[in-house]
Order: sequence, then C-alpha cells, then structure tokens
Amino acid sequence: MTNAVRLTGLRKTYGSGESAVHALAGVSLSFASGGFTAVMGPSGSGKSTLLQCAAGLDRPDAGSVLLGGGPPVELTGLSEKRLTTLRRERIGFVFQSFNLLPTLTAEQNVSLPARLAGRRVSRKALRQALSEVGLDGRGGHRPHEMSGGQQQRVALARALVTRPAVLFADEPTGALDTETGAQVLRLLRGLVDGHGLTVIMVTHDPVAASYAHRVVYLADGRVAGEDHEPTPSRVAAALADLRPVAVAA
Amino acid sequence: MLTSPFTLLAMAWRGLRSRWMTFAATFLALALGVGLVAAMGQVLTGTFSAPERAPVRYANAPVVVRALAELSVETSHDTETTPLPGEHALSAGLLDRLATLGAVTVDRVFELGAPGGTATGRPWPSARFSGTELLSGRAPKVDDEIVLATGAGALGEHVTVYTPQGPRAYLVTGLAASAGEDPGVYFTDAEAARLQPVAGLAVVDGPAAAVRDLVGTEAEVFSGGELRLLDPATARDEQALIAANSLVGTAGGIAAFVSVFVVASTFAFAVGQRRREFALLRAAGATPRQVRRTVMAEATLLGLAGSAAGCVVGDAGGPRMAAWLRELGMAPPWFTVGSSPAPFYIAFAVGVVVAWCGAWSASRRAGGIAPTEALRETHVQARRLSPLRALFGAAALLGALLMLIQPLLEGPATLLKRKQYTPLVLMLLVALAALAPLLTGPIARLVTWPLSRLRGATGMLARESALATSGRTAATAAPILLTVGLAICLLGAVGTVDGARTEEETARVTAGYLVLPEQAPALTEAMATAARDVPGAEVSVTRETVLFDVEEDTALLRRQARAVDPAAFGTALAPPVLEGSPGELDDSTIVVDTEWGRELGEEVAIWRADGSPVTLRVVAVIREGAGGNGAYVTPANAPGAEVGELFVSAAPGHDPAVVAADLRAGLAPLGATAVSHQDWAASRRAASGGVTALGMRVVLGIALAYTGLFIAGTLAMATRDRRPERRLLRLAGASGRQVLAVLAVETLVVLLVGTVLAALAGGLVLGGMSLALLLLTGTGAIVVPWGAVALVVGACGVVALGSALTVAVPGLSRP
Repeated sequence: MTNAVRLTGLRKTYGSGESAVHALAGVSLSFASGGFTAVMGPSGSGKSTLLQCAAGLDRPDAGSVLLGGGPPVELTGLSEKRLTTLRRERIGFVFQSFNLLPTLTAEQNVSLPARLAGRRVSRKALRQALSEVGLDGRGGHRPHEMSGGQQQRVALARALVTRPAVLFADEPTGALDTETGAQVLRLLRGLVDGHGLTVIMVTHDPVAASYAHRVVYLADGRVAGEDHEPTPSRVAAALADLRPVAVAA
Repeated sequence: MLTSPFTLLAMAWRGLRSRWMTFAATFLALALGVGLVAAMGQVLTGTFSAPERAPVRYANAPVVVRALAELSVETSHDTETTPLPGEHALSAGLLDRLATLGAVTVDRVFELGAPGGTATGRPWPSARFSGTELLSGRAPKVDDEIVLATGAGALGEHVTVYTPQGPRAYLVTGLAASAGEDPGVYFTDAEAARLQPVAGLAVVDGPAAAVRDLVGTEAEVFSGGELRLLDPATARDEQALIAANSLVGTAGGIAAFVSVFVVASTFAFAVGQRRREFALLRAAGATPRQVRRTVMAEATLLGLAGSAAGCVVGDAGGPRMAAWLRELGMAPPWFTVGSSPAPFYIAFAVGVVVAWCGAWSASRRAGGIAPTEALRETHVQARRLSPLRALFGAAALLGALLMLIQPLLEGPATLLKRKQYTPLVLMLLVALAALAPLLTGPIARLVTWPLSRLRGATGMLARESALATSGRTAATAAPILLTVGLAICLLGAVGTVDGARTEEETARVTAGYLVLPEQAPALTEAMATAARDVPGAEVSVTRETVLFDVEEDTALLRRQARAVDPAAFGTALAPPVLEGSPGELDDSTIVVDTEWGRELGEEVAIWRADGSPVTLRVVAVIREGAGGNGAYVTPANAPGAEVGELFVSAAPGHDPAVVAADLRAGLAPLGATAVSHQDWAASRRAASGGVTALGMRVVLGIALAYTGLFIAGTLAMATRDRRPERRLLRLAGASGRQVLAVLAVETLVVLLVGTVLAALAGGLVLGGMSLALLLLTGTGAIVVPWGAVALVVGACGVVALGSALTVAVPGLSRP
C-alpha cells in the first residue's frame, strides 16, 4: 500500500531561548492511501501544527513532508506559489470553523478551488458534489442561511470537488452538536471506505476518533503511541494516560 | 489550535493596529475638514472689506466736486433713485459759483492707448493734486505736447497716442514720477478739453463745509478720507472683492459641505466597523446604554482633539490659500485673510458637533448590536436602510428635486446661476449618499454583470461580494460618489452655462467681420467712419446703453440695451426672435427679450440713459437666452451711447477677402483691426469660462484633494476590516496574487458603483439645465467635461486601489 503522506523528522519551534516552545520535536509518520487516521493529543501537543505542516499551510523548521497521490512531491522548500497550486490540486482541507466565503452561495463555494485554478466546473459536477454530502437543493444558499452541519458539509464538498489525494480535517466536528458531528463523521468514513479517500483528522474527541481506522497520539511534539480500529473507551483511556505528562510539561 | 503566548500577542497587536488605523483616519478626516473650513472662513472674512488706503489721485486736493446725474422715479412704495450712466458735466454756473470760494481746477479723466498700453489721460494742471512732479523737461505748453510717466518714453520723442478723438502724434516735453497712480499721460488744459469735452470734476481750493453748502444736492463733494473713493483703485478693489467673495463663498460652501459629509461618514463608518468589538462588550455584560456612552465619549474626545488640530491646520492653510488666489489672479495683489477669530470658533464647533452627529446615529446602532454577534465569525447580512436615514435621504432628494423643478417652472435662468445650482448639487449628492444602500444592489448587479460571464474565481468573488454586502459597498462607494459627483455636476454645470453663453453670443452675430480695438483702448466713431469708407463694406454699429424700467410698480430696474440701425438685423445681427419682426424697429419702438415680461404690441413707458422718459411699442420679443439678450432700440433712444460693436460684411458682388484687407488697412492707423466671424467665435470659445471655470477648478481641486483622502481612508479601513475573508480565500486555495486580484476587482466595482451614482446626479443636474436652456435659448446642448471627469475617476481609482492594496499586501504571503 502506497503512502499518501510521509512525514520524516518534523520539527517546529515557536519563539526562541527561554520561552521557546517546541510544537513538533521530531515527528516521523506515514499515512497510507485510503486510510482514515485520527491524530489526538492534549492541548499543546502539536497536533494542529502537525496538520498544518503536513498540509503545506505552515513550514516546518526541519524534516520532510512527502506528498503522494501522483508523482511524489517534497513540500518543504517549495515556493509559496507552488505550494498554493499544489494545495489546490492535491490537498483538501476542512476546518473547525468551516471557513466558507460568506458572500458566496454553497454552489459557488464548492466551485471556488476549480475556478481559482482557472477551470470551469459544470453545474452538474457541482450538484453532484453537493449531493454526495447530502445537500441536494441547497446550492443557492449562503453560509449564514445554513446550519453548522450543512456548512461543514459544503466545506467537505468543496474540499473533495478537486478529488484530492488527501483530505486534512482540523477538528471538523468541534463546532457541531453530537448528532450533526456524527453525521459528518459517518460521511467521512463512507467516503474513505467507498471512494478510497485518504483522511487525516485532528481531534480531541474520543468518539470522533473512533470513526478512524487508526489513531496516532501526540504529546509534547512527539508521537506517544498508536492504535488501530479504536473504540471511544480505549481512546479515552489512552488520552487519560497522556494527560499528566502534558501537564508536567 | 495553537495558543502560544506569541499568537496572543500578535492578535492583540493586530487589534491595536486596526484600531489605530481607524483612529488615525477619523482624526485626519476631522483635522483636515476643520482645517479646510477654518481656512476658507479666514479667506472669506478677508473678502468682506478692502484695505483702507490713503487717497492717491487727489491726495493733495482740499475738496473735489463731482458731477452727479440721477433718475428719480415715484413707485407705489417710495421714490427710487439710481445714478445715470456715462460722464456728466459740472454746469458752468456751478463752476462760477465755486470760484467764489477759492481757486477751481477743472479735471477730466479719459482712457487712452499709449505706447506702454492703456493709460489715463488728464490735464497737466491737475497732476499736482496727486503729488506727481516733473523729474525732467518741462510742462506741456502747446496742444501736441505731453508729459509722460518715467519709463513710458524719452524726452524729445514723438509718440502716437490713441485718444477718444483718434490717434495723434505728441512731443514728449517732460517726464514725471507718479505717486502710486496709474500710468498717466498729461496734456495741456485745452487739449484735454478737446479730447474729453465733459468737465466732470473740479478741485476747489476752499473750505469743505462751505463747498458742501454751496453745492447742495447738485453734485457730490469729497474731502479728507473720502477722496479715496475717487481713486480708480477703490472701484477696482471693490470689484475684485465682489468676485473673490463670490468665488470663496461658493468654495466655502462646498468645503463646509464636504467636511461635514466626510467627518460624519468617517465617524459612522468607524463605529460600524467595530460591531464585533461592541458585540463582545455586550456579551461581557455591557448594557446598550453603556456601549452608546462609550462611543459618544470617544467621539467627544476625538472631536475635541481633531478640531483643535484642525484649527492649527486652518491657521497655516488660510494665508496659503489667500496667496494661491492672489497668484492665480482670482484675488487682488493686496488680498489677505481676515483677522477675525470667528472662523476658528465656527470651524471648531462644527468639527465637534459633526463628530457627535456622525457618532450618534452609529452609537444607536452600536447599542443595538446583539451579544450573539460576537460569536459569529463573519456576517454578510446587507445592512438595512434605517428608517431615519431613509427619511433623511428622501427629504434631501425632495429638496433637491424642488430646487431643480421650481426654477424650470418659474424662471429657468435662475437654474444657470452658481448660487442656485451649487446647493442643488450638494443636496442631491447627500440624498444619493443617504439612499445609496437602496441603489447599490441594482447598480452593482448591473456593473458586475459582465463578471458573471467569466470563468475564473475573481469575477465571481468580486460580484458576489458586492451584491451580498450592498450596505458595505454603499458605504465604500460614498466617497467616490462625492468626489466624482462634485466633478461631473459642478464642472458640467459651469461648462454648460459657459458653452451656452458663448454659443449664443457668437450665434447672435451674422456679419462676416468684427472690428476690434488693438492699440486704441476702445472703438470710436472714427473707426466706424473709416470702415464705411471701405468700398463694398456694409457697416453696422451697436451702442451699449441702458434703459430704466419700473417693474410691477415697485422696483426701478436698470436694463441693458443695444442701440442699432434697424438695417443691422438683416446684415449683421440675428437675435433669437420669438414673435414680431425686429426689422420694424424705429424711434418709437423697441425689441425686448422675454425677461422684460412684455407682450408684442404693448406700449412700454421707460426712461432713456439720460433720464428722459419715453414710451415705446414692442415690435418684437426675443428669447431671454442663457446670458440675457437684452433689448434693442434705435440710436435716438440711446443718448450719449458710444460705439460698442462694429460689424462689417462684404456687399454682394464684392470679394470678402479684398474688403477685409482694405478694412484692416483703413483701421490700422486708428489702432484697430478686423477679425473674421469664424476667428472671433473660435477665440471666444477658447476663452469661454475663463475665470469662472478656473475658479471652479480651484474650488474643486481643494475639495477633491480632501475627498481623495476620504477615499483612501475609507478603503483602507474597509480592506483592513476584511482581513478574515482574505484568509479564508487563501485557505480555499487562492494564491496571494489571486487574493489581490479579487481585491482589485472589488475595488474597481466600488469605483464603478460610485461613478454610476455620480453619473445619476450629473444626469439629473445637467438634464435640468438642458431643459432650462431649451426654454431659454431653444437649444438644450449640455457640455460634459469628459476629460476632467475621466481624470477624476482615474485619480479616484488610483487612490482607491493604492490604498486597498497597500493595506492588503502585508500578511498575504502565508494563508
């Protein structure tokens, strides 16, 4: 099985000297294509930094990010312009705060990445993308006219419309209620299992993590453990074990 | 999420920076607005009074008597008295009686064409009263000898002087130093009497009181400081001040309006921008009243500080503005700002009050912000037009329409006056700015329609953003509406009125050639005679005169008229006739324009220029025109009128080129020449507007420089405000360049929306003017200063883009 993303020796430090914070202190991880991985850890464990470095939104101080799903590309060292193009073509991203353009309708939001790349998207493809996330007939609505769950599904449709090699999700259910969150997670898992999508998700919610094939634990910027086919109780227990360490740091 | 202390610090710093920019923009708007009002106020008070000068021409004269001729008419209210035009003579009897009180020196003043240009001719004996003394040579003894001012000629030289009686060569026998007087040419008493037969002035070497008793109401008596009134500089000063006052008055009105507009909008914009901050305050437990009080307290502090700074700006700017007006020739060389502190008090009060008003309505909105808004990331609800604002906008629109329609119904000529159309333009712009949120949607839909056809993301984003947030688009477009609107409406109005007047003036004349004075100061009878001597020349003369008319038995009016030979209507003149036939004009009839309000065939009882009454029958009514076409009478009804215009056409069978050449040859010795109608019309068009247009450009230039800053400030604040949206766009996969492209297109959409709104205002104002001109002249041609408008729109675009991109570029390299 090929790797969608391979991280090797990632380091990222904020500040310097006494007040330096080592967000990533040498992380090496591989994410297989067609897998659904949850990255977990307490606050300050570096999980968001990991995601942002892996997605090319932030630059690590050291280490390598190799992106697969096509000719392998080393992200570190690429120009900002190349990074932007690459993100547009091979990487999808959904955020806790949806990050939809408030002035655009759902359909227009979904069409945005393709339009930014200078391609025209057919209305049919747009409708289909929205239909895949269960939003038939809502294409003409603006974000503020939709519920949080609907907005997150628009964001998902937008992330998927370019058929990315990997989808990064940063606390995708953080702003949603339990039931809506579960819907979004079921949708994600369905896309992984049915369409071979690769998903890397950062979360602090054990229930959310239980939808993944695999869970990776981070603490103090290092990989602190791993589990496969996790259950909420196992994840919660693992997290509880990690917590005193994080507090001590 | 990342929550390192550095991120928090960065966020705090960013917040501070955005507040800092808002404060700076508001403070600058206020300081410059107050400064503009204070400076204009100072300049305006400077136009209230001319400097008190010591007498020059009669500095050494004890008493001067000036002939007086007046017309007194009994109206239904009281007796109206008005001075008669022209030179009047002191009667021989009065001069004899004055001689019993002391030595009498008769003085005559007349215009000449001298080697150095236009000069004043006077008899040498009265030169001593202005302290003019011989520096070399001697006084003139015989008719063809003169004394010149030093520098104007050399002793023993023969010079040609163009006198009212024609050119003559004189021998320079003396050179004199004139004490501050206009360049003079001094003749012998007898020669001066020949050149100017009317003895209008007399210097009496006697006690003023005795002279006054003796003269009574027969003439005017001047002594002491009053002698200043006889100096030509006094009249010139007054004229210059009237012109400067009118210009600065308009400029001040526009400046005050623009300042109020900008300050109020900036305060409202700044408060509107901080919705989220106020929502956070509300969420933290602040009552709406506390939020309102916070806003008002800030506005008060900022208002006081900004207004104080504005007074400093105005103190420096006023004298500079006065100097500018002097340099451009729009104010006399001695012009300075007034010394009254009133403009500063007024400007300061205006600043504080306007800051308050601008913040007040915004504070009510701020108080009404729901705490939940703090939780929303971004909101795009189009801000609804508040009922108060809608009411205000509707009232302003109604007022503007009334100001436009009322003159059309009652007297279209008033609409062509600057004092009428300037307030109309300002009112209309306020109305459009207030109602802009209603109009912005449809306009934005229209101007961005081509964008919806584009494939890429830029067009879609710019269009949807303009449409979804029409309230914000309206607020950002307001400064552009103001800037472009002022330019289109005011420059268009000035250009239209000037163009119509020039067109009318040149269309009135059908003659092939016009005689114009060159070295001679004015046209003379001798030139008319010389023209008539040219073979094949058909000569027509008009004479400027006035007629006195009592309107509705209350007001004694002085009306301009031309005296012509009726034959001129066939050959040289074609006034715009509505009814009747001007060719029937004779000594018992008159041609009037519609301003007279008289019917064809009506008998009109009027007074001639010498005050004699006459009753004339109306044989033709002509259009009032854009500048007033006036009336036509025969020379018999224009006593004392001098040659005003001299027209020449080639008679049938004569080559116009030959006639013109002969004409020029005949006129050259008299100091005049002939120009073709075509050349004359072209030069009139080129000179069209002149000082008015220049004045309006200066006024607008100052106002537009200020509104340009307003555009920059508003766009900087708006762009800063939308930083989160740009971040979203970056996260959605847009490159930094694409984000800038979207911003640039959005800014251009705002520019277009503002320009379309301004064009609406321009269409209404110029459309109204076109209608007024159609009623007045029969043609409704308007002049749109495309070049100037394009320049202003272009400059607005550069400022807007520059300001938006400058704010947006930093921090774009990373999502």
